[in-house]
Amino acid sequence: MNEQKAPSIYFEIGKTLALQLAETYASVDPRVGVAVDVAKLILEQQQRVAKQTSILAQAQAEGWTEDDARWDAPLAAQRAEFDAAHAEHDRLVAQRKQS
Amino acid sequence: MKKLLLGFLVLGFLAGGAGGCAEQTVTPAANSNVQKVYAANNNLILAENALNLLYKKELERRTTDPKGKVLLTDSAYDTAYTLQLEAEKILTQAMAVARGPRGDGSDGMSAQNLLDQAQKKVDQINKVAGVPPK
Repeated sequence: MNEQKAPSIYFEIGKTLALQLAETYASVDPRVGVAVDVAKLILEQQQRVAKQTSILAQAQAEGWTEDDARWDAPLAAQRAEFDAAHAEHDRLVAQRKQS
Repeated sequence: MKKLLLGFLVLGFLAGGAGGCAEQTVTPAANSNVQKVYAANNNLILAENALNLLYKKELERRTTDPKGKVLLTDSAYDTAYTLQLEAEKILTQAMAVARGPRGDGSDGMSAQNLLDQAQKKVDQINKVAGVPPK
């Protein structure tokens, strides 16, 4: 079991090191900074998906019904993230109009 | 007293059986469709956040480095935002299909078609936002 997990640990260390390296160059070129931030977003997303997958797997193992709140919870969390993205969009458009 | 206990046992058995049947109405195919919608939602959230991030950097650049390279134009941002709203609407439909009365897998193609439509829009947003393809 540990042998199976080892490569993913190295992969995580590799990703962290790559991010640190990229961040060092980010101060040189703003476009690199954007790429680094996007990479961070992707990593955060992967963590969220892994957590969600485990919640869904548990719900599935216990038996799902259509009204089951365990299935509605991830959807509500995603809805909140969409709303947050829209709020950020509105804020940025307002900032654009001010400048 | 024994008859009463036996009655409760029979009722409990029947209720348990009915519960088991209710769970079986959702097939693995329907569960799979729901999970696909969750995954598509996650991809869309990532694209939206990346797009906002890029535009935030662009607005910062306009004040700090007005003559620098344009990261994202206003029109590209606005167009991508329209795509976001369309993709969200499509995914809401896809979830309704996947979880609706016919969410037993028999309409799997419909849900898949909606997911494909949404994915095309997500791909377009990602292209603008600079998110690398998987």
